[in-house]
Amino acid sequence: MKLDAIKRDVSAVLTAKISRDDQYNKILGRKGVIATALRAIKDLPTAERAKIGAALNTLKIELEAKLKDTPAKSATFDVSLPGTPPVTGSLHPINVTIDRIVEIFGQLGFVAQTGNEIVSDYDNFGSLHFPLNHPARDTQDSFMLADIPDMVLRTQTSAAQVPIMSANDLPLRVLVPGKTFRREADATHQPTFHQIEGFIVDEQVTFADLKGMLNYFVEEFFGRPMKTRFRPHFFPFTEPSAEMDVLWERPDGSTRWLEVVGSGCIHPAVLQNAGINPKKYQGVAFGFGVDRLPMLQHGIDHMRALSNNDEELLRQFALL
Amino acid sequence: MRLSLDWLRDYVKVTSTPEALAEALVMTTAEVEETISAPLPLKEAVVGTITAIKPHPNADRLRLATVRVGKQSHTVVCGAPNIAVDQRVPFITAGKHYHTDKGESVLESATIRGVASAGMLASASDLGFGSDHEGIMILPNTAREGTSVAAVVGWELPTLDLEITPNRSDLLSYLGLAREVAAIEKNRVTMPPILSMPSHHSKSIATVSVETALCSRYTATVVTGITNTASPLWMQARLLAHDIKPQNAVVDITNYVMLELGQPLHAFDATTLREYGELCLSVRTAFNGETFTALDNKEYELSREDIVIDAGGQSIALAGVIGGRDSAVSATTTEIVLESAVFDAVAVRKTATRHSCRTDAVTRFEKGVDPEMTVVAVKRVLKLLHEICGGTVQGGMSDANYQHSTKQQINVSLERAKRVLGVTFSPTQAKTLLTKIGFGATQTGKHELSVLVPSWRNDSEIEEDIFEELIRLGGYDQIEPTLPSGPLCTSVKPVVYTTLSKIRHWMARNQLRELESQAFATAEHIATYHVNGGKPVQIANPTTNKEAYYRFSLLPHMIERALAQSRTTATLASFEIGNIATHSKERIDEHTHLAICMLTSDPVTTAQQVKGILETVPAAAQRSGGITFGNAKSVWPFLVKHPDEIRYSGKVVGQIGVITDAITRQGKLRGDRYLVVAEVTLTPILAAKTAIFRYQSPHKYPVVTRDITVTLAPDSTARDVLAAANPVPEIVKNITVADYHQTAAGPNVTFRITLYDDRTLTDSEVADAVQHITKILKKHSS
Repeated sequence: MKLDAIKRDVSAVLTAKISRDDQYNKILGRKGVIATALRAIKDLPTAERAKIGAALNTLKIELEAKLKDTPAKSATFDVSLPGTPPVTGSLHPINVTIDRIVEIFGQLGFVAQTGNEIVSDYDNFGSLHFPLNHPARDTQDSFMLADIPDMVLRTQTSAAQVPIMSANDLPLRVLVPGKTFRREADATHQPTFHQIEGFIVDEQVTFADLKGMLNYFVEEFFGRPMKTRFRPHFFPFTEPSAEMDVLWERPDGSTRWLEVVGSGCIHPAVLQNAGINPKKYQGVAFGFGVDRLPMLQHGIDHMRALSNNDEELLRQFALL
Repeated sequence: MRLSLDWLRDYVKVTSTPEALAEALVMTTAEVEETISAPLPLKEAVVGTITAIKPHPNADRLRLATVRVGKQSHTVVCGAPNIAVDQRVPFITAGKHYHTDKGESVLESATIRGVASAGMLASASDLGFGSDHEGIMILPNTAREGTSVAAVVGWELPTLDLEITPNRSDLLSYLGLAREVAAIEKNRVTMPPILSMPSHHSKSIATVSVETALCSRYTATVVTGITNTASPLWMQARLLAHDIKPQNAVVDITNYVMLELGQPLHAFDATTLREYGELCLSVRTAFNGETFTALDNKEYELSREDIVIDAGGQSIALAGVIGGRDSAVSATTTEIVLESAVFDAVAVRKTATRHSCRTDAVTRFEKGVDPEMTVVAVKRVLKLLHEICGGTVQGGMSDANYQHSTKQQINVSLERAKRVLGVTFSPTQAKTLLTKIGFGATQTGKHELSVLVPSWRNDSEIEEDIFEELIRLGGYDQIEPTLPSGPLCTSVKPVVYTTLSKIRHWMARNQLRELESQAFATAEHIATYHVNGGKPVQIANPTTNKEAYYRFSLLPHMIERALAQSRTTATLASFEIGNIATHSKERIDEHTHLAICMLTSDPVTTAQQVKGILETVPAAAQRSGGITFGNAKSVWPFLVKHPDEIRYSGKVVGQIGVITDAITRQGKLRGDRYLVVAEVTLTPILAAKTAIFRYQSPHKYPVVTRDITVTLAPDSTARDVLAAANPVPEIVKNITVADYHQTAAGPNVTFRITLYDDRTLTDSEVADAVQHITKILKKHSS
């Protein structure tokens, strides 16, 4: 064994274009140049063993220091490159909004329920004190079914009121989010849209409680105190009825009142239709149009952008 | 309903500013949708007097008018034929605005055929005031030179466009709105002047009979010797501000009084009626198939459900809806029969809906008119007729079927009001508030009132209606907001909602994007995507002929959307959760579905990913049961062959596969890309028991994995091979596919075998087990 030959092998590895880890393995590894040479010592004549052994150990220490001390990896990494966006899925802005509303009213003890989208005319109108052939129906032009009489696509999530009231024990604090349908389509209305119904039936719940809850909701939802306006309105299934507006600031600083939620004390006839004694129990109810809320919050200027499921739009909502 | 604040002042004194009044109306009565100011040109144009008219030296059709405005005179080139010396006309100076179809334009000073024009004489349409552009608007001689034309026509204050809710028919009139404003302003309502008739029991020369229960009152009054000129400018201006086109004095007066008092009125040409026989009017149901030509020149085919006014066997009006063409009043009319009546709200509404004929009369009748206003309205018309058209009332008024209505009485407990509203009213407060708007109120107990509802408030029926009156007049803004303090609701559980919510979040965490599509389907969707089962639910009255069905599947819209957006993105990963329905006979099956639609260039891997996500759905939603896959027995025809069916707890709930070329080609999907789709019904998962996942303790001994790659035989699938490997030795815990790629010889599949036991496995038992499996796998390879 020639020490020179070993040194030549070592320098060949050190100059080879391989990684520092590979160099280490090839020289100092279990089957590396040094280890192989050290194993071969036992075959040498006894006289040479000590000399070669000492030289190899010196060389090994030198190389260990050399291969350890050399800055190996860091110099080759450029962390100044720009970040890449994370790959994520996303929830639809409408459903994010519904989740948020359910969460806020959940803090007030409301429980979310679902309901059918195809309902009887009675559940949608009759049970809610909309008389047949009454002009109040004009505000909610319904889709009817071709082959099945007396069934409609629900025009309001309120259609779930009487079925839920009839099927459950009181008191009730219920939210019903979902799709609703009306025969109207223009820049601000689509035939399919979303509502959230909420109602309480209890021995004691007042119009003032309703106002308080809606104020609480608006402040929580928009994340800041908002100027609101609680004003009279008319719904066949509430008496008295009210709408709440919020004062909305446009990007240019001008303001306008935006109607956010319709509400009122549940009409005694509705409670009766659910088999509830209106002398003992009373209720409040409210209904939000959902679609406009994410538009307001995030500055979406056309309802169609939302309903077209545009990939570029939806991608941005991964952040919600 | 529009409310001109100028006009309103005829009935009530208003001290608030227009802004303050509008705000007060919103808070007590009706929402203000828009505040309309007089058009700019109408405000800018001033009254001028034509002092001379000369021919234009260079044009036959043009003339040169000298217009005097105060001390100044201007020469104006004018093409209108209706101008004459001494007329008062609207004058727009150069630099001010005139109205065009495209909006308001600045009037440039112009030289027309060599003569400089200092401005223009304006037609009504030039002023943005109605559509009349026939000639220059001629103003009354009393108009003072230099004043704004807006002031001359009586449009100085804003007009409010109010949203009147369907319960408040009384607010479809100035009188009704004045009552509300009077309550707001703490003033009284002044009724408009009416003609005093000696006694309305002295019969008119026209006789009336009512032969249907759907008319609760019918009055007829005959006026002869009238001159039916154009109505005065102030009246025309007020009608125009309500989008009613002025016609002639008689028609304008009936429209005017309808706006004023809320009672629809109609005038027949009496001379025409005399041609049919004596002036004998009857209110009857129409005959089936009877035809009627109305004022709008349309012919209506009537049925027994319609009510008509009959004179000598001729139908002269569709009751409460529209008058007849032949008996209509024209400029040459000299005598009229004036109708003021009360028709059944539902009957009028049905007739109007059936014949698609909506008029201002319908809008009022269908909501119910004040039965005590019938005669007052007639006397008001007679007063205006007398002033404007002259004429003589022949006899008195025929009044058929009238029964004095008794006022509705409601007992109101103010204790209950407090319980419902959360607001306290003292009996004195309550009485004051109610009497301000015409309700009667007497205290009958410590906290009890007896309330009498005025004839115009047919919406007030129960105690709660009176609570609303109290709270709105007391002020919604005065309500101290509170939060409900009652017991919590524990009887209903949010299982379905939270389960769906968990699934949606799970999908999003797995890089899928959620869609919300329109819930309609087309006939083409049915042709391509409807598979056996119930029939699609057809909509009887769709908004477009295309989307004529409620959706029976979530996929059609998702696939269309993916194809449309494939032009701008290479890949898409989307899901939707929503309801679908089909029906068999009259039974509707509505279910909640989950669908996934992936645009990919590697359909095999993508399908694996989708299956992986689906397999985890029950656990992620904390529902019991598991998702498995198998060869689909009845294949969805829009999928490339050999799709998998998806099973939940062994029951088929959907399919997963690749969309056929026929569909993607039609959707112009470019490049080597595919749509992988899956749709499942969530109904059984939503109904399943709650299952909280069980933790598994970590492996105590080394886990051994071995990969075996084989090339599959042409007609065998990965599933066949895996199935054949069963039963496996006990130490084999799992065999999965770690890699799959197509080669010329067939698909190369790498199976990964995981071996484990609660001890250290020996090399030889691992080798034995692997060899056993390898042998089976090899049998299926080529």
